[in-house]
Amino acid sequence: MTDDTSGPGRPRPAVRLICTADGDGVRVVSRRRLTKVVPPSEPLEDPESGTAEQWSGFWLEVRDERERVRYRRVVADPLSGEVEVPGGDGSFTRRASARASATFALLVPDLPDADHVSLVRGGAAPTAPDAAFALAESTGEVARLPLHEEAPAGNADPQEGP
Amino acid sequence: MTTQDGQVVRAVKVIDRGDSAARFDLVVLSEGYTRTEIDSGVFATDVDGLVAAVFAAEPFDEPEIQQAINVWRIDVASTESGADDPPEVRRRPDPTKPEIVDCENGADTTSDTYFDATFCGDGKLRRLLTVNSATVLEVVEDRVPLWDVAMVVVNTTVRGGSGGGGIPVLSKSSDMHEVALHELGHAAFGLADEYEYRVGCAFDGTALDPPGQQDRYPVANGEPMEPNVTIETDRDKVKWRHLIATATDVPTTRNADCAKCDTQVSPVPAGTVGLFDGARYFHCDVYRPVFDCRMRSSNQPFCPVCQERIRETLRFYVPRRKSPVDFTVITSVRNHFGDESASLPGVFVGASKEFTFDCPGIDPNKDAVLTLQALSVDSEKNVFRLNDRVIFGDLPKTTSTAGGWSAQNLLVTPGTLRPRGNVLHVEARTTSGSTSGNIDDFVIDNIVLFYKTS
Repeated sequence: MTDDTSGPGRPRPAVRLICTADGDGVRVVSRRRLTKVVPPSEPLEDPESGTAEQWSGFWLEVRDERERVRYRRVVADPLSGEVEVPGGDGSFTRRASARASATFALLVPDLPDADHVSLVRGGAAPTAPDAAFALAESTGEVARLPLHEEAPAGNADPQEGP
Repeated sequence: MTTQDGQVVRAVKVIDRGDSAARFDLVVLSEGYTRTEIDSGVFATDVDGLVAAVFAAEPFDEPEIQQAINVWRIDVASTESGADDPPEVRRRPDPTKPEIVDCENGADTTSDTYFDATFCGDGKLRRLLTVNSATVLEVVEDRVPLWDVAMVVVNTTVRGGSGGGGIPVLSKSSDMHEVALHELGHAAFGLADEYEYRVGCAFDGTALDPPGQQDRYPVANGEPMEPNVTIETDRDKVKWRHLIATATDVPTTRNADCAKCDTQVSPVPAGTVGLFDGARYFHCDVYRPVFDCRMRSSNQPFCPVCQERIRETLRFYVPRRKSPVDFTVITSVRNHFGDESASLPGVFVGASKEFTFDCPGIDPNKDAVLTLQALSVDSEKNVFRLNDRVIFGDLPKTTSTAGGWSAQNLLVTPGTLRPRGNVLHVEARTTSGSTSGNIDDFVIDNIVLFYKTS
């Protein structure tokens, strides 16, 4: 065995976004550029078209300026406004989150032509009606997160990581 | 009950399978452990137990998968042990309805802890154990920048936890390890919940949605993107069709009463892959691969479909297995040895030539194989030496058929080769082995050496 990193999961430029979600939407708190293997993409059967109408669930997409999807990965929905609670017998209870905001991290490949990360929810979300986030029941592209630093706007204060 | 109530002590790489840039890095953080408890190894022992449980579960028990995973422990000390545990509150907002009990059996205690852990995180359900996930992310980012998945262990044996989308939070209750595996399914592999839920289910107890809303999956929503749930009932189109045996019915079960969770027992042996009605919180019309899987009940193993997803993901983090055999091309042009330049094709060399080449990574104590193509070798006395050793069999004679090339495979005995600066000496001689007189004219091309690596 060797630590040779030239296999299918060769470390590549990647970026980790730390995001917060609240009643005003989702914003990037920090971007850290890394060299790291990222999980494999789901199939990109048709990068020219969206998929929100064809699929249900929640996933992230790395898109270029022309909205072409360069990477897609199913992720647990950080905006559902719900949490699951273990029941002790193998079962789970689902509850509306009481917190008015959520902080979460996303790791995506830092592709040369990438412009932004889209958080996409397909189909109607089985969410709690009293969920803390307005985004909890949205479908389609529910958030667009720039991969590159922007001029600060409003209260947003993106910080480029090391 | 903030970061003032403790300190980040250290990050420890508990399982080290290599550079974090190339591995899947799981990070476990402590919450509600005092410095004394940290220093006496209480948290380290808890993490060791968690790691052992994870690596004992399929498919994480597979050696190749284990090579993909680093595990980190971040020791975070808190001022006090445990977590906040708000008191039980009884109320009856509507006199015509039963009394509501919030934070049932809550101990009415507080603990000053770094991540502000608290039971009854929604003010209603005591088992909902939450932490400040923003602070958790700050610590992980600072201490293990190349992390992949983080989870928090709270130092209490009271049953509780939370997960599904954010940082999983675990208490040290008896189901801690199995819940951790279920949450890994979400956090690392994008697996969907396979359980049915809410109104009509035996364990709902909450009114998150009006009756009927979760009965039937709205098929117009489309196929779920998660790999372990589907609305497709055509056997030939089901995304895990390759795992369904021909003898298994598709669908394998249907829920007879979509207003309720399905209570039937499995009609097939445990672990059978098929199409089972009820998944992703809905009672009907969305299917799961196996009757019961860890993504449906945390105390079950991952089903083959979920295992496949886990393997497909972690394969990207497995160290590339170095080939046990390598090769080097010594020459790939026609070299004409002899003294009659126009008699044969190729670059005329003359009577002799030395080829220098390297064998990076070679195990010099193993056999190697030299292959070449030769044309018109008529003398058995030509010199063919490798590092001044005669190659067993020398350079074999070729057929005399005009234009006939021969492929030769020659064994190179152990101890002949070295990693760098090997020399292959080729020299044309007469049929008697003399260097004077009518020396042989022949061509050698495509000399390749295959050797074993260490």
